[in-house]
Amino acid sequence: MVDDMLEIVLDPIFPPKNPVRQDGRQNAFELIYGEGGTTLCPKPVCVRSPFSKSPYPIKELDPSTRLSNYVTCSESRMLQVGEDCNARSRNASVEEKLQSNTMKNSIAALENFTKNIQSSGYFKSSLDSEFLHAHISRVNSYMLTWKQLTPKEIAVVCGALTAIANSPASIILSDQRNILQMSQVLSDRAMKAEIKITAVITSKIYICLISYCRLRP
Amino acid sequence: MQSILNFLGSKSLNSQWVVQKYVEKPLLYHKRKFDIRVWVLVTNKNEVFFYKHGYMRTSSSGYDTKDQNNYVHLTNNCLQKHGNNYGVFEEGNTLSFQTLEEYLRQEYPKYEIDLEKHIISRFKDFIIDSYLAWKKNLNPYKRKNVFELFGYDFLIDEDLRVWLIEVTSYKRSVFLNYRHD
Repeated sequence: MVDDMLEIVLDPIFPPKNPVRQDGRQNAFELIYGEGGTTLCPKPVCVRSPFSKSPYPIKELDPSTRLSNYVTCSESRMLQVGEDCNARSRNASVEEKLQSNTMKNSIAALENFTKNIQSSGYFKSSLDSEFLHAHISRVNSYMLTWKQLTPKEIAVVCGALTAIANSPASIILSDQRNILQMSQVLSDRAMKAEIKITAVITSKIYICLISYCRLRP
Repeated sequence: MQSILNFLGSKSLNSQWVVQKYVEKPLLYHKRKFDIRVWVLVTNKNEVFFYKHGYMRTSSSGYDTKDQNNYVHLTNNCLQKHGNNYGVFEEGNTLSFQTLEEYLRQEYPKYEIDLEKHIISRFKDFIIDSYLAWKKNLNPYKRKNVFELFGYDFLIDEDLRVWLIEVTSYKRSVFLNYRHD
């Protein structure tokens, strides 16, 4: 280690009379950052990963990935099942019971999320768009499958959407993905009134946001 | 919180302290806690070098959050060497990166862990971030032909996230100022 270190710090100043590397081994010090213009680093170097990289190196262990997986599952389930949700819940298989447990946990997570977003410490700088999208997708998928939810769970879902609309994160509602999902909620004639009202209120907010973005020079 | 306030209350007003979150669920090596030491060389030319041969420093006792014994929670060699079990499991309580990779692949085969890609790349991120944060203070007198060696201590948690625990400067022992006349 000391030989390798001296090769970097000393040899450029006092070139060695005898070649140090006779075994062909490479210097074990790897340049990870440099601003360029030096002997060892003629061009700028920075191996820093993008800041968008998840702190969880293994995707399966990342809670946000687990969340979006659940959203994807519920969405696909929603498309397959259609309006036959009540009949299906009567003949619930073991798999469905497991899904039901996941849904309960998911509702609890949504409740926590609403509390966090309503807290005064939630600023624009702390926004994670993918994380919020995952939550909004989940809210929308719950709204579309409202027949499976209890009145309390419906209130949690509506509360989550209202909380997002009233938070600094409201800009996220103007995303196209959300608009498409929200249009599905609004076009469903059988939709529960409470959900429709929430959807209309939040839609007004993001329509204002879109108009503002378009009018801005 | 109260014990932190009590501690700070007993210290002088001008002193500075860092409060760190304790990582309760670290990744364990055969049920024992470990941390990772890597060496970083910084030159006055704003070059940062990462020494590839880091190593694990293991604890001599099984990990248990209820056990307040320092030998369970602190893996520093300067502490562990005084323990009764020092060197019982591993020589000098240290192991190579290769051993860690083999262990992780054996314990978590489904994740196909690549130490360089999944763990070491995060070490490098933390090193660059900390260097950029502290860069202005590293060579305040703009001396030429100087360098500094740092010891970075990292911890890996059970979700394989990397945590930077501490950075130690070895300025006093290896800092050399070569004057090129």
